Amino acid sequence: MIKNHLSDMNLQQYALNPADIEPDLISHISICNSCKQKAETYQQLFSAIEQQATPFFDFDLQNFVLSQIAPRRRVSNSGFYVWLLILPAGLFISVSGWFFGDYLVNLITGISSMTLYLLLTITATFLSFQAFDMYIKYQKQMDALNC
Amino acid sequence: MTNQTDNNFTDQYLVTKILSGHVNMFGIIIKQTERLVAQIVFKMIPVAEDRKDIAQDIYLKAFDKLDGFKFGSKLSTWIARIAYNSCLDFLAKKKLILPGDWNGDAGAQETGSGILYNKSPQIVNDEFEKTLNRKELHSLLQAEIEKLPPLYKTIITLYHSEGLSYQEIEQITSLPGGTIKSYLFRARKSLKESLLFKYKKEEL
Repeated sequence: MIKNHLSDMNLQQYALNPADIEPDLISHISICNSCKQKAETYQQLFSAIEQQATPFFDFDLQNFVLSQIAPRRRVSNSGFYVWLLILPAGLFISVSGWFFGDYLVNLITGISSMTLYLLLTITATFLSFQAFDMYIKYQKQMDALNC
Repeated sequence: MTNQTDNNFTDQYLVTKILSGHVNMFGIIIKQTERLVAQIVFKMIPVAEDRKDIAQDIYLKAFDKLDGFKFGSKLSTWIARIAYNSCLDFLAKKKLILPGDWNGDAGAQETGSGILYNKSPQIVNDEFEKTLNRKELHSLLQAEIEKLPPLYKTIITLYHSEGLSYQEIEQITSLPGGTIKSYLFRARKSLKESLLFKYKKEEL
């Protein structure tokens, strides 16, 4: 049997589901009025949250969205335009490869190891800065949400 | 994963039908997820006028990305995730929230158990119930929930009002399970202490 009062974390767990906490803690609650009442306060709170009125949109969302989808769908079905861009691009790359392929192979195989290391170092440095920037932005967003 | 819906349509059935051209069936998805989306939008977006555009944007995004849905979660969870991310993007663009940490326990020094439980806890609880009838408790609670930061409001609503599991909330918010549990704990404790403090003020 524990003699200290339960932490708020344990009280919340007990209020949610008594089976989730240790039997010793349950025994304590059964004889400690203070902890029992705090747990009951949490139970009342949880019950009140569950019974909160559900918010709803004050317009017909279904019709509103469906009326927007119909014209969008007609536009999005026009895959023809996508192919109209892809085919000339593919043709251009193929022709370039046919005429200048040898130059490209020489460019890649003829590169010195020093140049290769230099390129790799620059790339790695650039990516490190990008990663750091992403992390800072993520932290700022989390801070903003916690305000 | 096949999830039976209220209308006896599985997520898989609905998605397949919509992708094959039965666009109107998207209306069934809207009807089934509107409540969950409203919970997220209302908790995260403070200005009522902005909510209409965001709700529309959420479902248009969902429709556009529907062919990318891999049934790794319930369709409703996937749409709730789009809703959550859309709200986050909106808040970031509008810079509606100020930077800084929420100190959910700040009120504890003032309203902490040391003051509130000077009386016997039994008396405090009984009086708490008597003083605040159910209606008053609900309106007080509503006001206190509104004071929480958007993320806390959303998580506590998803867990307690919508009955979502930790795993589903993880899928929606992309936050680790431990962080979600910690936020829930702080929000509940803050709400409890705020309500008890209100009771104390009303008694005075």
